[in-house]
Amino acid sequence: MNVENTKAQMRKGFLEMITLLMISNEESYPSDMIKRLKEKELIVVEGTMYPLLNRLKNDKLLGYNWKESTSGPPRKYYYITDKGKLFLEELQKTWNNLKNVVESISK
Amino acid sequence: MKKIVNINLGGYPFTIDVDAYDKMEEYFASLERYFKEYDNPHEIIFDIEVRMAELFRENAGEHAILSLSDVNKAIKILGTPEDFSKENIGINENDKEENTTFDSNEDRNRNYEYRVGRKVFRDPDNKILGGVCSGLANYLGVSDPIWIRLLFVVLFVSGISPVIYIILWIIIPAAKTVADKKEMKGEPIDIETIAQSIEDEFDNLTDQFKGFRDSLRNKKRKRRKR
Repeated sequence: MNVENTKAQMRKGFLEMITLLMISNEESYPSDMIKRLKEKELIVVEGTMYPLLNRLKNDKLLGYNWKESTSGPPRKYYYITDKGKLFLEELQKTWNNLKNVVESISK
Repeated sequence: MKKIVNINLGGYPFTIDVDAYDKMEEYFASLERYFKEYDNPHEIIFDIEVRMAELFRENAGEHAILSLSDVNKAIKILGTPEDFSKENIGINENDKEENTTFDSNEDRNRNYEYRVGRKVFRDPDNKILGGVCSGLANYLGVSDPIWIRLLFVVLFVSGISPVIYIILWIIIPAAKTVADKKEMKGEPIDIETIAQSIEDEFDNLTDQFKGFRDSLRNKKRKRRKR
């Protein structure tokens, strides 16, 4: 039993929710999201973010727009779709439930 | 003195040392293998490419010449396929196997250590003319290229035009990168085996140097390490 493995599993589901949540607040540029997630130690290597975003986009939970940037080529800004919002709501319900369970048991 | 290369990385122009460029090529090749089974592998890889360009601009400045250590630093931040499988993140849900058990970590590892089978390359390390024969020997699994060379000599003597050798020389690409050489010999390619072979080569060099030094010091005791 490897604790790093378990931690990675926990982060995995959680990261999906956090990503959707961040994007639901405002259209987001992945590099900015990565910065925040790294500060919170939710991701270890940056490269893991891109397949995740790509999958959420393929599942139509997210979409993106190209926006001009002052310092280089246009950037992808992700936004959340209606389907994504519903998905996020479901995840948050589960999250709240989990949180309550953990709180009530660890008293 | 070093050779440099100009590249376009995610839409940004960069000047980069040749060894750093080779490392980057290997890295992106490893990503390509890892993301092969995803829905839009090229989109993911391009996103990572753009991010790498941003990292370079943040850390090395806009007009610096990128070195191997800049590339290594960026790769460390972005992560290798090995890191991705450790994190278990972003794995395609459309994949047949659900990646929920710990054991399947090993299966993931196998993903990027893919076996290509062999590919024909000319072998520049072991050549007399163009490395066609040694390349073919590698491809066919013949341990010593001398047999293929003899075969060609016999063919030429028996009236088959040597033009065939020239044609092979032209159509078979030379094994340029470490990955090519691995593929030529049918060995699995991943960052680790590539690093290993570079280490081996280096060890080999040091050994040769030691042997040379020893033989100078002690002429009676001829010692050659290989």
